[in-house]
Amino acid sequence: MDIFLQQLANGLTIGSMFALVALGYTMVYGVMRLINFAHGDMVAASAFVGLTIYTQVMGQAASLLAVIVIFLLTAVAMACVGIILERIAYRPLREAPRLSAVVSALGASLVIQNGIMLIWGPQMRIFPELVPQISWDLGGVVISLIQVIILVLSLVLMVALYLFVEKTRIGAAIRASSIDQDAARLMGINVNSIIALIFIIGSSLGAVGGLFIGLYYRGITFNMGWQYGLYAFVAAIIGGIGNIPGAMLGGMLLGLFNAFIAGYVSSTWSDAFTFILLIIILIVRPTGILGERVAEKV
Amino acid sequence: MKFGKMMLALAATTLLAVPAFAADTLKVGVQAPITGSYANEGQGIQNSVELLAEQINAKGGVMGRKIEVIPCDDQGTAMAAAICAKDLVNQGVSMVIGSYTSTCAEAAQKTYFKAGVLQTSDGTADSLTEHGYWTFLRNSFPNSAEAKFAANYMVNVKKYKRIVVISDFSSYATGLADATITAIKKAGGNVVSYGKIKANSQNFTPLLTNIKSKNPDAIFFAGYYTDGGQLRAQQVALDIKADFIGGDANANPDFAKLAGSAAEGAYVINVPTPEMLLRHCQAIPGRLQGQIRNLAAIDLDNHERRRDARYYLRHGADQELRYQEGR
Repeated sequence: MDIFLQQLANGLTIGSMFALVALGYTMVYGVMRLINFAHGDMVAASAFVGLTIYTQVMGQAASLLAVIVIFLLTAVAMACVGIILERIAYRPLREAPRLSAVVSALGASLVIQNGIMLIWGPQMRIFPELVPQISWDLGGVVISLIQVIILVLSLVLMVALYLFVEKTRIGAAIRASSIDQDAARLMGINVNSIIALIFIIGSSLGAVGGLFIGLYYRGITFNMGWQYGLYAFVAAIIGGIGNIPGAMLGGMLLGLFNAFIAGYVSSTWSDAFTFILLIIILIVRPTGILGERVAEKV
Repeated sequence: MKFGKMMLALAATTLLAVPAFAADTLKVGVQAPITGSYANEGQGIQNSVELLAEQINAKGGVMGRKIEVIPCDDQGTAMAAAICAKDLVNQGVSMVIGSYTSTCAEAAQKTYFKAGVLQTSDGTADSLTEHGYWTFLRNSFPNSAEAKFAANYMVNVKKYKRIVVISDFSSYATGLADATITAIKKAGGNVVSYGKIKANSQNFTPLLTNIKSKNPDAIFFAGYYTDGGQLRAQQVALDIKADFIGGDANANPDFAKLAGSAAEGAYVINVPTPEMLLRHCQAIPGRLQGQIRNLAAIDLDNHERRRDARYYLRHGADQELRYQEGR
C-alpha cells in the first residue's frame, strides 16, 4: 500500500508537469487546428531563461521571493517569445494548407532548439538548489517540498485557466473562436488577438512547466524539449486534443500510468507501454477521453 | 642543354617531393560527445587533444610532421558515432582518440579496423577488446577490474548485506553492472535487485520507490554522472537510507551539482590518477575541462549555495572519491 501511494504521489507530480505543457498544445490546436511542435522547445527554453534570470538579473539570491520573481519574469519573457513565434511562423500561413503550417512548426522547433544550443551551449546546465531539499514522511509515503509546490501551483493554474475560459467574456471569445473563426469574426471577436492570447497563455504555462523541470530535476539540456513535448503531446491526445480539461486529465493520467508501469511492470518498458496506451485510446476513442464527438450538422 | 635542364628540374622535384611529403600533416581524429548530455566530457577531450597537439607542434611536431586535429561530434550516441567513424576515415586520419563512452567507441571500432586506423579510448567496457580488432588500444582499466574492486569494497570493507545495482543501457553501464553483480556474488554478497534506467530520462522515482521496498543498505550505480546526480538526489528525496556508490563515470563535478546537498556522503569509485597529470592540469586552469578536470582535486563551483563543499580525491589504497562537507 505504501508503494502504491508513493507511486501515486510520483505520478501526480510528473503528471501535473505534463498537464501544464499539454495545455499549450491543446489550446493552440483548439483555436488554430495546428500542432505547435515548437511548444516543447519553448518549455526547454524557459528553463534556460529562468536560469539566466537567476544568475544574471537576480544576482543569485536564493529566497522564496526570488523564486516567485523568476517564475513571473520567465513567464512574461516566454509569453513575448510566444507572440513573436506566432507572428513570424504561423500567422503568415493561417490560410495556407495545413501541411505548410506543420512544416513551419517543425522548423520553428529546430530554430528554437538550436538557438538554445548557440546561446547556452550544448552541455547540460544545472539549476541551483532554489527549493531546499525538505521532505516529509507521511506514514511511509515521502513527499518533498518541491513536489508539494509543483502539485499545488499546477492545480491553482489549471483551475484558474478553466474558470477563465468558462466564466469570462474573453473565455467565451476563445471558445467561440475554437468553434468557428469566421462566425466569431462576424460576432465582433478579434480572432487575431484571441490567437495571440492563446500563445501568451500557452507559452507562460509552458514556462512554468519548464521551470518545474529545472527546479525538480535540476539538470537541463538544450534538446530536452523534444522528450517533454512528446509526452505532453501524447497527454493532450489522450485527454482529447483541443479540450482544456482533457489536457489536464490526460497529463495526470499519463503521469500516473508512467509511474505505475515503471513501478510495477518494468521501468525499461514504461515508454513502450505509454505509446501502446496511446494507440489503444486512439482506436477505442479517436477523439480522446474528453474530446467532443464532432457531429456534422447539415 | 635542354635535356640537362629537364633532368635538373626532375631531380629537384624528386628531391623536393620528399620533404614536401614529410611536411604533410599527421591527421589525428578526435571522436567525442562535443554536444549532448556528455558535452562537458567531450569538450574536455577535444580541448585536451588540441592543447597537446599545439604543444607538440610548437616543438616541431612528430618526426617533422605537424599534427592536425580533426574533431568529430558523436553526441554520445551509437548512430552518430558510426557516421563519425566513416567521416574521419574519409578525411584520411591515421589515428583516432575517442570516444568518451564505450558505446560510441564500440560502434566505431569496426570502421577503423577495416580502414587500418588506430583507435584508443578510455571506454571501460570489457567488450571493447574482445572483438579482436588489432587497431583498438584500451587506455583505461576494464570494467571487470573496477567491478572486482567495487564488489570487494562493498562486501568486505563496508559489509553491506543488501545491495541494489542500477544501470542504464549503454555498453559501459551494462558491462560494469553485470561484472559487478558477478563479482559481488563471488565475494559472497547479496544483490537484492537489478534495475535499469533509460539514460537522460530524469524521472527515476518510480524505480527508486520499488527499490525502497527492498530495503537496501547500498545502491551501486553503473552509469554516467548526469543520471547519477539526479538518481542520488531523488534517492535522498525519497528518504531511502542506503549508501550510494557510483561507478567511475560519476566522477565529474556536475554529479555533485546535480545532486545538490544530497551529494554529501555519496561514494564514487575512481581510476587512480597519475600525480603528473594532476600537476599538469592544475597549471593550466580553465583550459582543460571534463575528462581531465574531474581527475584534478578542485573545489566545487563556489557560487552555488554549498560554498563549503569540498570535492577531493583521496589517494589511498582504496582509491575512493568522496564528497564531504568541509569545515
